[in-house]
Amino acid sequence: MDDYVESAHYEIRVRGVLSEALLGAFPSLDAGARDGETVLAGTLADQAALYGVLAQIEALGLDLIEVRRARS
Amino acid sequence: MSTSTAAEDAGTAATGAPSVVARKPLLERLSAGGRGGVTLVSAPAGSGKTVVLRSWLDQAGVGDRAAWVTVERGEQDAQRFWLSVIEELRAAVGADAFVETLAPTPAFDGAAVVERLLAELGSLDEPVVLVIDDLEELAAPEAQAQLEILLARRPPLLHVVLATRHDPQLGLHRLRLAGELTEIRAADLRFTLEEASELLAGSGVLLSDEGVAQLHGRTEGWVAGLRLAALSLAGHPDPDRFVAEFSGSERAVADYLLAEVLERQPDSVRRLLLRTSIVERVNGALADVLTGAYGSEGILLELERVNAFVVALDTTRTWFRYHSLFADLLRLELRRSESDVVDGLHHAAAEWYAKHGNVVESIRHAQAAEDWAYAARLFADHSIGLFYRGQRATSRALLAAFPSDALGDPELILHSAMESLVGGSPEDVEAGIDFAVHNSSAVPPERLHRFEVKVGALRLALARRRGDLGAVLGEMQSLSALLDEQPPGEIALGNEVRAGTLLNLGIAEVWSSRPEEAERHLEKALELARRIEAPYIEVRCLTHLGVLSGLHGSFAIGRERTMEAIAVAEANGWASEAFVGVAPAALAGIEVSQGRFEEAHSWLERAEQAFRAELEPAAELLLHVVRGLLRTAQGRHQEALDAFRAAARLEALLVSPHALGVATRGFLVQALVRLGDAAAARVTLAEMTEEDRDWGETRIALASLHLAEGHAQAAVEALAPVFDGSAPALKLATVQAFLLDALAHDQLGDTPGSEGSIERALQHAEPDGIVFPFVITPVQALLERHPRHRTAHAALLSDILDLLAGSSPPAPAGHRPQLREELSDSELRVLRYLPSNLSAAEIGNELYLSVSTIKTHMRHIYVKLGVHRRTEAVDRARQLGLLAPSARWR
Repeated sequence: MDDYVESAHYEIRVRGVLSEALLGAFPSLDAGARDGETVLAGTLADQAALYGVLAQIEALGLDLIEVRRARS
Repeated sequence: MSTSTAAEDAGTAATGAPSVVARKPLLERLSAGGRGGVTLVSAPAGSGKTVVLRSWLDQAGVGDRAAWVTVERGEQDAQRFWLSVIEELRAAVGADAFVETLAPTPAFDGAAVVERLLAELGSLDEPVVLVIDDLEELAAPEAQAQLEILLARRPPLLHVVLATRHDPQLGLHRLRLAGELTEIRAADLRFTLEEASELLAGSGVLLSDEGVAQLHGRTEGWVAGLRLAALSLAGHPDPDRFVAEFSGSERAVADYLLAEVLERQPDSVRRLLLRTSIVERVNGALADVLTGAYGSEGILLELERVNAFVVALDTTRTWFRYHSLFADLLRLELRRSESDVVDGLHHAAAEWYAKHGNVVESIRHAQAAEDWAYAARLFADHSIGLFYRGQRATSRALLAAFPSDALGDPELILHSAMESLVGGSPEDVEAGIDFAVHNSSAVPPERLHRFEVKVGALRLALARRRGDLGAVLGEMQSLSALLDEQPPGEIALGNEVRAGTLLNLGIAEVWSSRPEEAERHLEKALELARRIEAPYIEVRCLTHLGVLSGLHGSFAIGRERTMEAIAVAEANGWASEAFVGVAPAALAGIEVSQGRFEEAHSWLERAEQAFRAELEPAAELLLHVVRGLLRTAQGRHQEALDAFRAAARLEALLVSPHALGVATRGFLVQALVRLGDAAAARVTLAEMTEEDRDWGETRIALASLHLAEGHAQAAVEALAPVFDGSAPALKLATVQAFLLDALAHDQLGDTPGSEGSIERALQHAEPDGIVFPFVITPVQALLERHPRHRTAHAALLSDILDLLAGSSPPAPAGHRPQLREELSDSELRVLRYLPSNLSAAEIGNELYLSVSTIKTHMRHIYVKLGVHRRTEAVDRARQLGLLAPSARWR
């Protein structure tokens, strides 16, 4: 049996520093701000969870800059 | 769905609020895309898509011919989406030019609805715009596929505008390649420096040129950002400083600016904004409840006036909606600053909605408050109503929103089981019921009665689907008792359940040959359905009452009832949903019986279009039998045999014998005889049960076999029990029995006996105008010889002979309708072309008239004939003798 695991560690970078209120939209991720950008990092269960986060970013009118993934 | 018109929104500008910035280049591009093309406005939240489109509709003067549909948040219900589209298009095009309406039903068929919509739009003679806003919210997967079809096949005069946050998967690349797509994207929507200047000036903001440039730079022309800034800057003591600080901040634009806006609001306004952000729509009363204050309406109106992302939903300005980005940000701020009140707010909203009859919203907010017990109770109380009102998809979505541990709730399990009843397997339903009952101790005592009623109703529906009349009767008895002891507070629930239950029972009784009980129960269900305004149940009651009359009562009443069922279905816009096919099938059966084969053919076609494989076997069996009868009349005996075989296979799936079961087998044998396969006929007869052989249809089949083999005496003996009453048969078969008897006596040289049987055949045929058996039995010579002066049925005899000789069949007795208003000569000229395949344009060519003239004539023809469609107009015109009947079959 393959030991393929769906969940992965993601880093999602958006433009702008996010306030506490805005960060409340991403409770499952940690945030770090740098150079006028915010990196939301954390483990997401699967692709659906990732798209959920991206949809939230879209809904809030934020600029998505980069999505990075590493095996967790 | 949001239904405010462009004119109403432009009115906001007219009341002295900050005016909408005129954006001529964009408006021109939108108009240019209007040559029947598709326009895609794809840009992130807050780019100003909606405002631009609204002002375009107003400025370009197409507001009257524009249909605007805003997709609901997270819309899972394809039916609700299409209903809005149709309603809005209808309002835009004008009700008499756009005849289709559509009422919601549990049996929604999106593909068929789109087909009909396309057909309807095909006769547009002036341009119309359809705007679909917030397209990204359309989550119902079928709806997207259906929309793709609409786009691909849209008529030339329909301009579709899609406003969305990201590019949709609707086959737009094809349109792009064909040059039929106009795109307006984020870059196009950004405000130029001049436009930003104008916006700020229009909002009364005093900012230096440098300040404007800085602000424009920082927001990058993003409209939402500029508007938020304008809100903060209006009346600000030091605007340039504000801008400088803002520019120096690295925070996300909307985030920063919203916080600024909130900070500058009086407490009452801030409180209102934050607390009402949890609901999709708000009015003064609800806002008062959520804020615990008074005067919310005034605040909302003022917010709307200053263009603070609040929009009134109708001309009365009672309901409002926030721009979704704005609302999202407010909600987040609420959660941050007052997280402890959020659940309470949702709960208050749930209660308010429940009190005001908005079931779906109340359940949603109860779920948002994570009060699963409350949400489950609300759901359990209302989901049956939602089902009958065609909101199944919504209901399913609500059910899916319960967390898995809440699903142990027996009331929810029961509803899951109910869902499985349509489109799931009987085993799933059974398992669900058992599980729910097993856990029924978890049901609060004051709700136990209601729960038991629903269990009983579901068991009944399941038994009916299986054709198990014994189980149905058992359930009905216990359910009746339960319904009788109902406490008064539960009346509303009881009526819907009661009507559905009586319907299910009645249907089972129809198919199991218990006509008196069926009639009683269906009549009761019908009366109730009309009282509680449940047209879905009404149609099904009328349909089965029609079937009942067709089988056991008078054809005239059967015709009346089935036509009424069809009319109610049409009035609600249901023409192709599966349950709608039963009435035309029954009506086709009546038409075949009366020798009106062409009419039977079109009704049968209609029935077949609506039927799907998953429809209940009992109804589908009827369809096959009717087809078999029609094919027999048409002399297509192999196809008739196939149809009867299909019917026989379906009967095997039912637990109790079907009302048409014996007839099916009898006709099957007759088909074999007609095909010359006496051996197979004999085998089939031998395989029949003792019980079967006691029925008239079996004896008739046997007699036909004997006659085919020249054993006239054996035929007479086979038929004797039919005449002495020991082998009952349906009306159609009885008449045929007499005819076969007449043939047999004739072969035996017994002329008086033969004539006597012919006379009795006529006698039995007369009350309902039964003609079919005369067509399928070779008695033409006998009929011609039948002494006219001694028959009591000369008129019927003539009609039958005429029919056999090839002229048109008589209109059904009492159904020679008069036209209230005669058709004019020009209308008659157009009418003559309607049976052809020619389009309105082609007819125009033939008659040297314009398309719009033809269409006007067609509309008048439809109104005068009392129909909605071309095929119906043809049928009706033939009935009235305005059109010659088409070629007869032999």
